[in-house]
Amino acid sequence: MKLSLGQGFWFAARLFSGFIFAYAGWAKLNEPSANFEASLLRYGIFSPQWIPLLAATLPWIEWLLGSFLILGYAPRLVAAGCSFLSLAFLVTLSSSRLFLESGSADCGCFGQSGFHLSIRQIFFVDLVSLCLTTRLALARDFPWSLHSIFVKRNDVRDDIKNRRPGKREVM
Amino acid sequence: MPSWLRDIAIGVVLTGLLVGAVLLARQIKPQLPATDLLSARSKGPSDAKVKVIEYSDFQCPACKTAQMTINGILALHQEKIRFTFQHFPLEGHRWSRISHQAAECAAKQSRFWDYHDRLYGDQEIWSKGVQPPVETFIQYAGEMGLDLNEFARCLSDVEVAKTIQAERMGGLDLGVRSTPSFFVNGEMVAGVTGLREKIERVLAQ
Repeated sequence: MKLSLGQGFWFAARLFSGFIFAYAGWAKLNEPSANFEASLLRYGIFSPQWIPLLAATLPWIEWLLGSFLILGYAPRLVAAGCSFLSLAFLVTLSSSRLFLESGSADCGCFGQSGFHLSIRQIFFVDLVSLCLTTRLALARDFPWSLHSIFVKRNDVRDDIKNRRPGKREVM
Repeated sequence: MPSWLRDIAIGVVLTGLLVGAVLLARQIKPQLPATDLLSARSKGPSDAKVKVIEYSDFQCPACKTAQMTINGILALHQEKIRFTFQHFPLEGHRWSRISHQAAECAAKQSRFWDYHDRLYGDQEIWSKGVQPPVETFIQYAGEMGLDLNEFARCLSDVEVAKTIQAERMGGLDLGVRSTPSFFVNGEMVAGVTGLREKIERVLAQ
């Protein structure tokens, strides 16, 4: 299947956004959750009683949403979910005192052994991700995705169903 | 099969595969080092409720600052914490490796903690020199009453250097990238603030 320039760009955007989420989740899931708890504590905007729950669930959500986006499973819904998460991250980052006081500190988004992006760098990445995933959530065409495979199959099946016996096809 | 049911089935299978991949990766991850082998660099009861491992660098200023907090925590809960030091000399610190070797040599003569405190206490003195601070380290050993012949021989022992390097590599495998890094009952904790909170949480359970 050949892709147009636009299709190629949005395919790459889907892979990029998916990779950011999937990698962030994977890196944190393969480390003790206390690492992420410590990172969340540093932001100083979450109640300590919610931090263990957040540290235990958020990496799984990132991993699943990111992987689904790469594979193109339910891409509109998943992209909307990623868009919502990006927005939540941007609000969190900008409301934390760390953003102003120590913007060059490690954000802790990719665990201790993954990429080390500063708080200001990840703010930019989240901003890009928000734009891309919002656009993807509104898209209709998802080349090289599970969605495109099944939509095509459905179209073929619907075509067969809708054919009336004895009706002549017009070319 | 209706398309909505097929989509849900695909979602369930994909989720299962993705969750399985994470669980599998966790299974093949390297295990924490056994603290019993490190008794010379450990303090506190061996059956303590809380086992803390610190990966630290003697030339790291943050590690020196952290010592005050660590000592405060240990003094407060001395019967409940087993604390173990692990070598993690950072690449960017010139005299880090030789300082860790000196501390390991002191450990062989059962004076690790005294030497540890001296290295952090005088960090600004020995870390600033242009030449390797071998004489300074031998002087510290002499002031502690260590066997200086044995200490000097150990200071150039390749096997000791290999032990330190192996600990550093072990730390890297566990995800340690910066110092000080801590493991509380096997869970990594970043920084001393996180350490205090984690210990308090474990003790409260």
